[in-house]
Amino acid sequence: MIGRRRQFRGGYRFARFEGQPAARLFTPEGPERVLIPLRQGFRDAVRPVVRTGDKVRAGQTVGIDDTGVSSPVHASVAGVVEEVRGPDGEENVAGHIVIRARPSDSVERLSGCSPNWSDLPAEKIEGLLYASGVAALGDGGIPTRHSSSIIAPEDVEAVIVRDTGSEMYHPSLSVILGESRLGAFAEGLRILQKVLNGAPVHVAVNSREAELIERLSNALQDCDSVRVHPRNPVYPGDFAEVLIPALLGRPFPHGYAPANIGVVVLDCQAVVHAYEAVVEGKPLTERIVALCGPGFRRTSHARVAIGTPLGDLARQAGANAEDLRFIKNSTLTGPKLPDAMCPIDRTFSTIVALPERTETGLLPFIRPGPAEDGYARTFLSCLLPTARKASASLKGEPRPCVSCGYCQDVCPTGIIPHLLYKYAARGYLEENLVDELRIFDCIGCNLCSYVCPSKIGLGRHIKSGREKLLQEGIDNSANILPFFSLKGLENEGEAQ
Amino acid sequence: MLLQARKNRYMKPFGPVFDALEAAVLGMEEMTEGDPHCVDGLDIKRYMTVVIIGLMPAVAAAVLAFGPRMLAVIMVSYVFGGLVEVSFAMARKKGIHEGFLVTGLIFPLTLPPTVPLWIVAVGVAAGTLFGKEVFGGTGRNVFNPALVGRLFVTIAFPSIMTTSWQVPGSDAVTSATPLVMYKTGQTATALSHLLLGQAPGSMGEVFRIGLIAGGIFVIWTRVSEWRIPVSYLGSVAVLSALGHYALPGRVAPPLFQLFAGGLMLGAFFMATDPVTSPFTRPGKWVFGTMCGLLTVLIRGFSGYVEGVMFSIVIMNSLAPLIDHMVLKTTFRPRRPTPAGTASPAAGVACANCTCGAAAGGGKEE
Repeated sequence: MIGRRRQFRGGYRFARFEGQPAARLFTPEGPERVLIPLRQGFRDAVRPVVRTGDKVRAGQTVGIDDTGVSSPVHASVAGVVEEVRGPDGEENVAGHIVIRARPSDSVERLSGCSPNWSDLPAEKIEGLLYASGVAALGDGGIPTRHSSSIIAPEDVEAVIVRDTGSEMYHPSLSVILGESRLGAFAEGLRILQKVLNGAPVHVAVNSREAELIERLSNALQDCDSVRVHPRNPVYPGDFAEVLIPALLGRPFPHGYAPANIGVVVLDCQAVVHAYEAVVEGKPLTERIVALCGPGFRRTSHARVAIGTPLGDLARQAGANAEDLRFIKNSTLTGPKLPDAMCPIDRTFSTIVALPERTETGLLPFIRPGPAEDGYARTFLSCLLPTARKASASLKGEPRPCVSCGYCQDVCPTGIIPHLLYKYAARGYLEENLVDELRIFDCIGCNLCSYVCPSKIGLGRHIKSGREKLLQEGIDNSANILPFFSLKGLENEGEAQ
Repeated sequence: MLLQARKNRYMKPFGPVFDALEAAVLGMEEMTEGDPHCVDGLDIKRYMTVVIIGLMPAVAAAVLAFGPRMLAVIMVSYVFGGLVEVSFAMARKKGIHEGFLVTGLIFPLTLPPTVPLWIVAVGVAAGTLFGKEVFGGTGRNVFNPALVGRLFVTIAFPSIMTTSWQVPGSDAVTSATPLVMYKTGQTATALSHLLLGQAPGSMGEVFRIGLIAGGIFVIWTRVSEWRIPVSYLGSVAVLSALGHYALPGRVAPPLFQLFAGGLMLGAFFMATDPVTSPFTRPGKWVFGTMCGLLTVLIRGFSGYVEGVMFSIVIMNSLAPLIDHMVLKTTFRPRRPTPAGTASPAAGVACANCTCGAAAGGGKEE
């Protein structure tokens, strides 16, 4: 069933950028060594259950913790444990396990999986989702009876699966749901619906993927409570904070998580993983990651074994030799990957490589800019269908705010970023910032910082202002708690 | 060569000058810190450049109508406005900001073509100093610096600023601009003369078709926004129509009012200055409408013939208050919570939530 279209205010539709991932999937050679982080996805780090020198099989559980809110992690390759570093709360280290790979074909399967999953009891399916590590995916984990999320499966009121491709760089749905994975996706939605309280499922995908939407609607024809929503790829259209009001018509409790109002938010790949875990008994040991950006000579998607070091992957994917900045998942909000040893874990969906190159040239402020992206129509590119060039250059000098209002126009939640920035940067942090100017409504999409011609990191200032307010004991609860009945609050505050 | 000169220790205070030159000529070497990693290509230099491009038809028309001396007037304005900006930048040890590139161009465009060059220098220096630098520089000023300069010279040198207006395309000088002619004899100048720049007036205001085209271009690029010009021009049209109907002797007819005086220049390029106008959308409508009201009132009922400058400066001073009032009404705390009086949006949440149903469900432990 096709859902209604409802947009959110503001936002920005990115033009096509050079270096979008090609619809090509390759499997890189197995890494020599993998580094399995003990914290992957939602939420706490797990305890290692192997010791240095142990032999492990691919898919074997190497870390699990039944006390916190977490899901197990697995060895992604067969080999020998070289190093175990346990979690250390004091140093804020989640810990990791290093495995030296040994050639072996044996892959451990989860017991109790079944192609006739509908015959399995809900308890068994939840067990498989948890044991496979799939339950750690999404914004707040998939609720199971093994405390993989802050809420229980009975609390779920809606499931949102979104991949609207609104980011500057995003994985191609024709790869993520390619081959037999579309069928797995449709089946995965049914599996999730069965264990998640029968909650209605909303699938939000890029409206430009017309063919995919049709195939998906056909595959889901018999499911009345699954709705496919074709969405315009307007950033930040994949944020739960804007999707929940747009798809469900309910307000979002800003300052809290989607799980608090009983909404599970996943990406398409997580649903495929759920199918593989329940039907094929596959632990979550690999992810399809889009490798994109101008830093790759040839962009692609890679089926990456979890724990593969970034350097291994970048080399095989043909990253350029120059200085590159690798960014996880989003050029606007994602972290910069610190070094070549950084492991790819199950929370990755995109790796963007941007050249660390400054843009110099004669009189840059009057360059015509046929490939320059801009919110204002000041570059030639606004008249041309050219692909835009992305780089990590600031493209100008920081200047004082001139109240041009671009941040206000693009803000998807209707707050006034430049005003909040002025308060936060000068340290005027009082309650009216929370109650009236709604600083906690900021969803951190960083679109304001993107469009700012004065090159001010508005999002950064708002975030630090919020943190300072929280330190002073001022939060958004007075504006939220009387209006929402939130779930799972008792499980909060344990994140490491 | 630039780098060589820079190393000289006597040149140290001039650091901002070198920085500005280097950045303008060669581009900046700064990288994003992350969060976001990639940003929009527009910077403030280009932002200001777009406004200057929007003013080019008016500048070209001024040179054609009043002779190449207009270029000298603009040069003087840039040199002296620049000197004030640079010396403040050096004293603050901060960068030179590009705002004066617009101020330095708009200010001479508001002056009579016969203006002595020394008045240009005094005016632009006073405007930059009292209009901008004393408030702390770019982004903090309350008043439009170009208008502060214009106000300064109007008050300091009233006879020079109001009596001698060059007739476009000739050396003849008259004291009668279209607005003066209407006020004294109620003869409205032909619209075609006003639009094409054949009636006397300030340097930059006479070629109104060029101003409108430039203004629309700047709005199209999103560097300027449309609400203020639309509400300003709209309220002048509506109020002068009403006023002319009631008091034809005092209030000029709407079309004449729209195209006479500095209204087009003011509405498209001065009232829209983002720093000195409200940033809230309702505030922009109020600001533009009030500017129009004041303009019609001053033109019709005061001793002055032109009211654009005064209206914008008066409304500049009210802009922060307008924003404050708008924020107070649109950004109310969601606090009052007795059941049933919650906002409609919050009501949806309460209707949808399954408080009762969920409470019965088994929770972990």
